[in-house]
Amino acid sequence: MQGLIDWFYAHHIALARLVVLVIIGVPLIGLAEKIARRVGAKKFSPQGVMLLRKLIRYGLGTVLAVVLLGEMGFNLTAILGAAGIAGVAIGFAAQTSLSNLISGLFLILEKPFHVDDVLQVGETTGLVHEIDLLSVKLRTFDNRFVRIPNESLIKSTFINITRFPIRRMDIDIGVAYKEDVDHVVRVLTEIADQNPYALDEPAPLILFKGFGDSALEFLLGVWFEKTDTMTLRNSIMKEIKSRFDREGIEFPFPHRTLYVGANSAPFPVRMVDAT
Amino acid sequence: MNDALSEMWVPQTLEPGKIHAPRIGPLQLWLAHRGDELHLAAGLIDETDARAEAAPAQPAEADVAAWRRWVCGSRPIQIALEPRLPPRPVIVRPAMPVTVLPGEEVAFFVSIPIRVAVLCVRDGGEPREVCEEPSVLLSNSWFGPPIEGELCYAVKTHARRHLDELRHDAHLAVCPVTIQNADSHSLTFERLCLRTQSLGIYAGTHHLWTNRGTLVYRGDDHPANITFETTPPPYDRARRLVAEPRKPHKQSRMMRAFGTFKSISGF
Repeated sequence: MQGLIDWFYAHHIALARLVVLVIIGVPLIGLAEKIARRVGAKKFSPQGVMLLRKLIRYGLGTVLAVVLLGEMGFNLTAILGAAGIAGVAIGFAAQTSLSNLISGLFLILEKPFHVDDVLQVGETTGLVHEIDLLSVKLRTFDNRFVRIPNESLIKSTFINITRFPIRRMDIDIGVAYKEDVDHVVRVLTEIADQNPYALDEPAPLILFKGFGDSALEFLLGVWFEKTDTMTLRNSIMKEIKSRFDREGIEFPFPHRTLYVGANSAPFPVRMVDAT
Repeated sequence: MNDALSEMWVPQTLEPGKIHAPRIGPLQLWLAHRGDELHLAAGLIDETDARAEAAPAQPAEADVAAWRRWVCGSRPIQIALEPRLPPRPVIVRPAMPVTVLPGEEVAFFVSIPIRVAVLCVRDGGEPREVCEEPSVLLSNSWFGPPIEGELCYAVKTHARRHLDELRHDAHLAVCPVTIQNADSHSLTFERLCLRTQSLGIYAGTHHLWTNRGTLVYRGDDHPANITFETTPPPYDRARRLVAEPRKPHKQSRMMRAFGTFKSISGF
């Protein structure tokens, strides 16, 4: 006990210095982070601000730690040398993480998407929930959480569905060969024109694509504001069906004839009066 | 404003148990004060549908999908209707593309379908907004390039050239716009974008009116802005302001049809 007291008397000034450094240093790092957040919010994206804050926190934290170790009388040259060797070892061990980290930096700088954008990566489609240095987190529409490492994201092709404010919805429509092409085009034009969610500018695209196996094939492409995807699809599909029914335009569908065996005749089909 | 049109915007006492059914063009409203609640139902007549000859039928009291309710207290209330311009810019097309020769000017009277705000007034106090109903379901449209444009409404009533061509419809506000071609080349345009949020509505003898706008075209290199006056338009004795602008007065813009739209809407 006496030894501890003697040690305290011998080092009380150095200890006081350490305490003062911690008391001043830690709030200073917090303050620098706050300033970076406030200033960065005006100039950078949320991901950029997050990156800047982390750089400030860990950079200034390292400086403070080095100063504290120096005050405690440690030989910094030896420590930094050991840290360098450890860094190389950790670097080899954490190659994937470092690759993700660097990919994350590129993603943050390139800004191909933001939080709340709808992203399609391979078979997965979801809202961007979080963009971190190591991975991007998506929330799918059925509320599942998907983590995609930044490295695989930067190597692959992905689609940012909501990047632009308007999009085109392409609907393939087949009608029976007996139908008049001009009549079908006119009806499709009116359907697009009357739907309030379909933009009238850019004008809807109506294309007679060709002669299918059992149908005349058309493409109806209607532009819409990106938030109207579901409402437009639901409404225009219903309108196409009801309007085609009203106009007597037939949707062809596959017909099958059923045989009960190789040597037997097909089932007889006979038209009967509905009344 | 004629009696029928002007009475539409005067507050009416809503007697308990009775249904007040104002009709503003194709918009039919039903309002009732039941207990301490205001009940409201709305229906739109599809003017393009030849089968819709009569007004929509009043929904049954038990039809919970049709009626909306607001708690307004059991004391007598008054209901005021207020015309409002659409909350987004509107894009208007003339009946056919118009070319204005150099040095000429042309006046258009653009009919814009209004929205109707329902306000509740009690004990002579400040009106409280209940809801806003469109008199016509307007289609969406886009103004500007597809990567950074602006969502607008498309107005399908054509821009008229003469006052006597205007229809006497309670649900339309007329926006007079004059276009002057001060350039040495002809000006051809197919559509007009009006930022209606900064326009007020005035009651005239036969129509509702907005502020008058003027556009001076000085060539493609100069921005073509519509400057709106802050005073009532000099037509139809339109002096009484019946609706303030949604936003403070700002300039609106006009544009010619973009060729780029053709390139993105076709293959």
